[in-house]
Amino acid sequence: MGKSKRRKNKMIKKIKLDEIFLPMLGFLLVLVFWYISSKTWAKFLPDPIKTWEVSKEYIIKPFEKRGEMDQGILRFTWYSIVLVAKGYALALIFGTPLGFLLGMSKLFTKLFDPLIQVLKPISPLAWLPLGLVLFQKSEPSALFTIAICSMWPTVLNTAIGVRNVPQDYINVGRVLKLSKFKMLYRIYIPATLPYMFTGYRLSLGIAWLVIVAAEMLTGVPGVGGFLWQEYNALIYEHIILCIIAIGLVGFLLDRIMMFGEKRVAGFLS
Amino acid sequence: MPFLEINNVSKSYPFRGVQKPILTNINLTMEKGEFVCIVGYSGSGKTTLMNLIGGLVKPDAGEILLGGKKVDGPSLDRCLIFQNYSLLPWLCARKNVELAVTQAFPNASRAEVTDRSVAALTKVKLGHALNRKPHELSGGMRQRVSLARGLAMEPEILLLDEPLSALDALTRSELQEELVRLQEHEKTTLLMITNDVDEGILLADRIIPLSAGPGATLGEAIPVTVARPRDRKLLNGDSAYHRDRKEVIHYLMSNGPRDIRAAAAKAKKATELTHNIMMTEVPGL
Repeated sequence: MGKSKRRKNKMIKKIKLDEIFLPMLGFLLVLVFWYISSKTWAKFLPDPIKTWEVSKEYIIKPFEKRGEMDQGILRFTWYSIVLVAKGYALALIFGTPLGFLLGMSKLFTKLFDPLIQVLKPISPLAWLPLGLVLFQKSEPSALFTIAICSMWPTVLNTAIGVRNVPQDYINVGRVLKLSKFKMLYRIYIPATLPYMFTGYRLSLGIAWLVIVAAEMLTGVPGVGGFLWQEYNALIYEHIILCIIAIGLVGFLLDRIMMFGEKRVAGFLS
Repeated sequence: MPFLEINNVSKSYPFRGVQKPILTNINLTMEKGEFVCIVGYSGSGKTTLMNLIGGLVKPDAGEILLGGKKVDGPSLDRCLIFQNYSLLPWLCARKNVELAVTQAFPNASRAEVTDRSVAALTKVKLGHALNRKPHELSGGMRQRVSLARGLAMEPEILLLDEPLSALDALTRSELQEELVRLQEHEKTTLLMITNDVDEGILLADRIIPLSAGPGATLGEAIPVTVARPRDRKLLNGDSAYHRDRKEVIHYLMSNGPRDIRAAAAKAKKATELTHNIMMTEVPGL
């Protein structure tokens, strides 16, 4: 008994070491590298301490609004999240049915699959000017860019999910004479849900990636817009602040989606 | 006019670029209320035959008639019970059955649908597991849910594709009795596939052997002569049981895959030999 308990304690210690200590060491190493860089080859790069001093106003009062382009970091981040949410919603609204059509119909696949493969690798920086031409205003064109860039994982994963619905489930539907509509929402949609969710998670990652580019080019207030403005204002400390904020938010969004994905997979096991 | 009529049905599937015959010249007639068992080797096309009658696949040649009407796609009065249960994993046992009941009884009220579903599940001794998802049930329990789904639809003919093969002996005998009861009281026509000759003798009015593939075909129907009601405990002492069993096994052995066929021929030669010796030695016999 005592022996196994000791072993258990040892295990807990090991997990703590692996999961807390090592990542912290990783961050620390990067900080050291950053510090050394700022003192040696990258003369214009502010060091970590200076970055903190210049940025702390934005972190300590994260929701303060001093001016259109001078707001707390979380306030900026919130604007960006709202914009991403809108574009992402558009991506799901158009992407999911498109994925179903691709998965269900061979004709549709032949018609549009090559086109999708061509559209998929186009960068947001290429879409945005087209958005501006189409909509003339910055917000709709940003939404357009987010939607069209982040849609593809949803489309393709949904299509794969639909194609992989087990024949057994389809046979059940046929034997029970389910109508087309019932077949869709009693068999196809539940059976595809895990694939759809994987697509949704990947799409959200891309949507967040696109937001910064979209805000930089359109100058919409948000974390990306702020970043670009501070670059032009030569306040490089704020660039680093924005980069860290973008990274953390992206990480959090991914974790939330992963949680949802696991729940959905459990529902189908 | 027979209730179910299968005329010269053949089916082949493409296999590595060649059409491989699965079933050839299948002929079968069944009367209403009859219980027929098809016994055959695994991999001989039994499931294909069920899918043909169920209307999930179309025959290459020949036709299937049910009540004089040509089978053209699935129908709710021909219920297929799949070998691999085919339950929807995102629905609990009760909801799986309810989906079938709403389809079979489109005018039933919500409460009636639930009542019928619960009744069917209680019948297969799953009244305690109504709200469990398929992955929370054992293999045998899943098969019982699948059976309950078929029973609850009250079809005219129940097509059972090895429905009892994965069950433990006790549950198996309980469900066998349920099937007999179904035939006696509800006058349901039952066509069951099995690889267990004894099960066939216990349940069926007739046993039809299916030869080994490729190009499997049905043999001559063997009527089961054991009197009803049949008691599994007394079966072993019944001479009719042994006669029926021998006949079915004889057909299967001599129409089985090549190695079994060779063994059967050898055995037959040996018996013929002893028979001849007996004939010569005792001429007066």
